[in-house]
Amino acid sequence: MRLLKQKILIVLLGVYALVFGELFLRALAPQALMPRYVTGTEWGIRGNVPNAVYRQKTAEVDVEVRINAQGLRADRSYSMAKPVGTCRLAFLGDSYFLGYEVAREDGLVALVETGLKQAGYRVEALNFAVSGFGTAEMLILLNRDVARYEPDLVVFQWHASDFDDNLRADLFRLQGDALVPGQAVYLPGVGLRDTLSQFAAYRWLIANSHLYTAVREKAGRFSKDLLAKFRGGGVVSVEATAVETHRRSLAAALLAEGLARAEAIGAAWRVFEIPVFGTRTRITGFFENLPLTRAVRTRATSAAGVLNAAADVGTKLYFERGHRHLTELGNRLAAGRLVADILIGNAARLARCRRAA
Amino acid sequence: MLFNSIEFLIFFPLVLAIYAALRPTVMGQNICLVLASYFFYGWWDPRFLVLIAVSTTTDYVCGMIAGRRTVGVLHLARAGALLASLLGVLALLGVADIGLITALVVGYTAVMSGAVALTAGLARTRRARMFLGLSVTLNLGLLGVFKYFDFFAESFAQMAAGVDWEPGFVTLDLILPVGISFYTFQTMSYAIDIYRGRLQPTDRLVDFAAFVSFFPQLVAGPIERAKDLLPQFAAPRRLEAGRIKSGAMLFLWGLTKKVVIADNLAPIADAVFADPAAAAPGAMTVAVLAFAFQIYCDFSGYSDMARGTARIMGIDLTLNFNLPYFARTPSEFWLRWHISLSSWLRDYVYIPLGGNRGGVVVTYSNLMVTMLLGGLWHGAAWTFVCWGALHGAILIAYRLARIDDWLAVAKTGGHLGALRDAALMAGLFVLVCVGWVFFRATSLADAMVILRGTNLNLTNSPDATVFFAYVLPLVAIQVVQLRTRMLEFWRPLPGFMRYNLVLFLVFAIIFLGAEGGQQFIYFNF
Repeated sequence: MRLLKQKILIVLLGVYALVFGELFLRALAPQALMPRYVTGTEWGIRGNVPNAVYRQKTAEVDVEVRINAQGLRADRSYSMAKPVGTCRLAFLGDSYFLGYEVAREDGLVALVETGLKQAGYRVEALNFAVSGFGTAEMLILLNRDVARYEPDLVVFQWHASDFDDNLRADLFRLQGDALVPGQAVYLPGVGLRDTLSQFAAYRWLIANSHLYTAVREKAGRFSKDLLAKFRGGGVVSVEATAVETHRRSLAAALLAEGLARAEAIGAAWRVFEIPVFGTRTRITGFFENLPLTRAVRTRATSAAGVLNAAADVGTKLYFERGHRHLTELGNRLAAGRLVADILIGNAARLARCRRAA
Repeated sequence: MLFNSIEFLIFFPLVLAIYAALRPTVMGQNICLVLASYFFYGWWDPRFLVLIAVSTTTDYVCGMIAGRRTVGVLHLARAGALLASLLGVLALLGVADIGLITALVVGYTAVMSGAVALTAGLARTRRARMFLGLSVTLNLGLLGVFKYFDFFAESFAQMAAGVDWEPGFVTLDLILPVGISFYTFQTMSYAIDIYRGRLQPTDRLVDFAAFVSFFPQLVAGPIERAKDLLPQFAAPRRLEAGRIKSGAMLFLWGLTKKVVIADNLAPIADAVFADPAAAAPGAMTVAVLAFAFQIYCDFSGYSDMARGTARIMGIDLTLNFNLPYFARTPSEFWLRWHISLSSWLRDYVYIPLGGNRGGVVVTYSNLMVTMLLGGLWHGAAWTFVCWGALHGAILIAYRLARIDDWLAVAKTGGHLGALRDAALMAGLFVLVCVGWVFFRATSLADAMVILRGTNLNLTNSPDATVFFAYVLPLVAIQVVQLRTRMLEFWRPLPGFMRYNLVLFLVFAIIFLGAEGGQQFIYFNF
């Protein structure tokens, strides 16, 4: 009986600690509640959960993310066949293109669509972005899913996080200079998340609990640090340089493959960089340092220039208390740049969709 | 290894488990402590363990002779064996050359044996004085070479350049071994106390090695006295639930001060001190205040963690901080700030110089010399010398004004008394902050820029809110500590309240603590 009482007391104290932690964080360190609704797809990579509707709540924003039945961020479904006289643009990227922390209409993809319409084009912008994606996953998605929608222009997003994402995914490898297929399936954490998502309590936690969010973030960073510590121990600079060179070569090869695959399905192709935000006035692009082929380089542009031009201590281009995604202003500036790039680089391809003046 | 690191989180429970299992034997526990301490220190750089071992073995032998004891072959063999086994491990790790090791062990043992044998015929007192001299020379020599040589060589070269003379000096560019200022002072005091007849030497080398290298306080103090710490290594220690709980609580409180307050204030101070000319005046004031609390929370946090860790293992360490910013006069301040160093300087510098026994002028010059040495102890730089000189001047000024004497007879309590005390505390705090400017600045010129630039307009500092958010709760707790005269303010709390406090501290450390596991400021000294 006494043992039972002790056990009950321990459980109660444990539950109390959790409640205490939740209240502590809400009062002193509110977390950015940014649940990710991703699941496995039939082509062995992650995809947005179809028909998912969820909110992202941070100290700076409270927005709804709505995924359509096809796994795209959209308020409606799209037919596979293009509407007559309309050009289709397919955007592949991670949470930046997906438009995390902003409403759909303030996201970069929607703004590009609006910009091109205002320039006199009948276009549809399909947002295929999935949070956490790297270039390797975009390649798979392009062939297995995007191609079915007959895009005229495919836009890949590039971000410095892709260096590591591509290596981790191991969907493609470099053998000498040649890109070869790697593992067939890359579904990190998806099985566990799918299982847990069946429970209402888990769904409530990921959408509402500051403690759960904070622990998840900490645990993620902790395990990454731990891995880096053990992997990094004793690594000499020559090896580190070799790893760096390998990551850059892999990134460049994947982008070249993106161009080739887009052309193979009859679409034009571009890649657009979202830079890394250090501080309000320190925004860094990495594109210039990639060993891109000439063909890719002519189709590659970065938002770094336009964002740096607008950077100022009083200007907020990315969310500082959330997950550092572009603000409405940041998205508008980046979209403006991309619209200009498309109008210069892909005008011929879109000519058939131009409305008569 | 840092207390605020993952490595320590793994290291300490492992050591504790082995230490507890070895409880019946004092020797076993002490061997465990020495090995753990050497591992703890070697995690940073194993090469410098040689300095600790040399300091240990030398003071072991010197202590015996300073205590007029006979040193036999067995004692010398033990010293040689400690050195040989350490160097052997270093050779296995590939950080020391086997030839060099053999030469060192043989050479060191030969020199020590020779010194012991050659002086065997001398009168005991004379011999004791000689070996005390050897201990002091070795320890100050280590400090001199590793900490001060480059500083004095460069300063001399700069002065010489003023008269168009280029001396052929070369700097050694040595790395400063972590904790060298702490353990050399600790071992020196051992030999001095024995020579003065205040302490009996130990002939148990393992106990003495544990005393010198005890990992909780090895790298940043408190600087322990042998009379307090050494006897604790002579008895078996039990892990008791009460001590574990209270030690863990003290550790938690220290860790909170370090990672939540000190490490979050650090960027505020760092930004301004890195480029004072670019900082706004209000920002300079906030940076100075931030550094005052950063260094306090960093160092007192370390001391609390050291004391907590030791307490868990059944060892009591000296109190090193006692609410120093509530001091009303500089003499009170030095009884509350880095107590183990200020009492060391008092006992082994100020009093031997004559203390206050030689008239006003001698007393003041003794004070100034002691504070200058205290400044220099912190680091080889003119900024530290100025810091020491400033504190010497403050002490002298307060003595001239006889403020301590006035306070001794003044009425305590009442509103007026509280007002007077608050005014004195505030005044001294401002002076201490002026000192911190010299302490933290990278040059005297930078210090002057900051001192000229500070003002009370905090509105143009973007960090003022952050500063107050971290410091005001600390001040509130310290007021409670002061009023209840209980540094471990959680002691009278009922169990459930204490549980809430533990939860609060744990969540604060995890979620409010600065990331990255920053090093402790005093590791640089």
